Amino acid sequence: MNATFNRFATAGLLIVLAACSQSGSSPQAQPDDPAAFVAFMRKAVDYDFTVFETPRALADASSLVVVGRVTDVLPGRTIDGIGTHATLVVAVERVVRGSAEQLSDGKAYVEVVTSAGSTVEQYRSSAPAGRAIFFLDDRTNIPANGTSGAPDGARVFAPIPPGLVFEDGARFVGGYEDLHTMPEKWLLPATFDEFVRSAESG
Amino acid sequence: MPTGPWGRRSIATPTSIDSFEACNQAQTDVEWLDANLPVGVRGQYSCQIKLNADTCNHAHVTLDPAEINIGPLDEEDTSKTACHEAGHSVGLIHGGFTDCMRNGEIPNNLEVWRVYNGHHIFHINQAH
Repeated sequence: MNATFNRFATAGLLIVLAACSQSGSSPQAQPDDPAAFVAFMRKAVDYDFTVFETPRALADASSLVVVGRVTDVLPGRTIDGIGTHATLVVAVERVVRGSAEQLSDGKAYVEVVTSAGSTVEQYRSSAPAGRAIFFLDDRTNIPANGTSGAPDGARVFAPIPPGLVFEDGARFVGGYEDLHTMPEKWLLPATFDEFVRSAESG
Repeated sequence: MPTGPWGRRSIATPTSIDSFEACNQAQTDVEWLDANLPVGVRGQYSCQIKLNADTCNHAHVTLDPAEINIGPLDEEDTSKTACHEAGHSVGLIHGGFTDCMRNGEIPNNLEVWRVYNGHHIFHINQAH
């Protein structure tokens, strides 16, 4: 009898813990250093992408460019041929290119590919507290299965590699791509704010 | 290493990796797909099932013909991106500008953009 009770108690505890981990609550004590998050991004996928000579040229090709902070990471959509995603909830501080009307309650919902080495939980636990600039493609109408986790009516975006760049102390660091592989104008800015200005005005 | 026709051509010829086409997913190291990728993305490699911390057991390579076929050299560009993503599947990273591991459209139809250079072949053979 006691053994049966203990088993149920254990099972109940596990169910409660699992439910808490699925709640999409905000990351606790977000790290200042983006290194772990960047490492998970680079483990998730490797791209072959069109090379834009300058951040401004990439901004011109983007549906939306924003500066903001990742405040949460949610389980995302599955797209045939591409795979499963995590949805980054980005609290937008500034719209660099595009319109604030593309946001939902001041937030942008950005899906990133997950893989065997980069899960929703890993993204969530490593999401940096600092700012990032997101060069985005509007993917709202791409056929997909499941939900992005975004509110009804919110647009869903994907980053255009190498257009996800994090503030990193006094400097900045590329997400999917080491910016040292990019044309030299990508590394001319000295600070994150200068990088943002280069995306804005060339 | 079973692969699709594009990856088979680029991997098998210059390296010591044995490559063949297979329909049995359980035996497939790299599954080749196509999809509408985000703007500017020509190809994507992602590991789906890991064998251990450092080794992928089953991966997906996705090509987006609409993004690849923007310039005049569609056949060569497709071959280049397939070679590029197959290179990721055997551990190559970006860097260097003298073979298929460069990013983006090829500048001309020289074969050098559709194969691995000696440095990359050395690393592939060392690792596998």
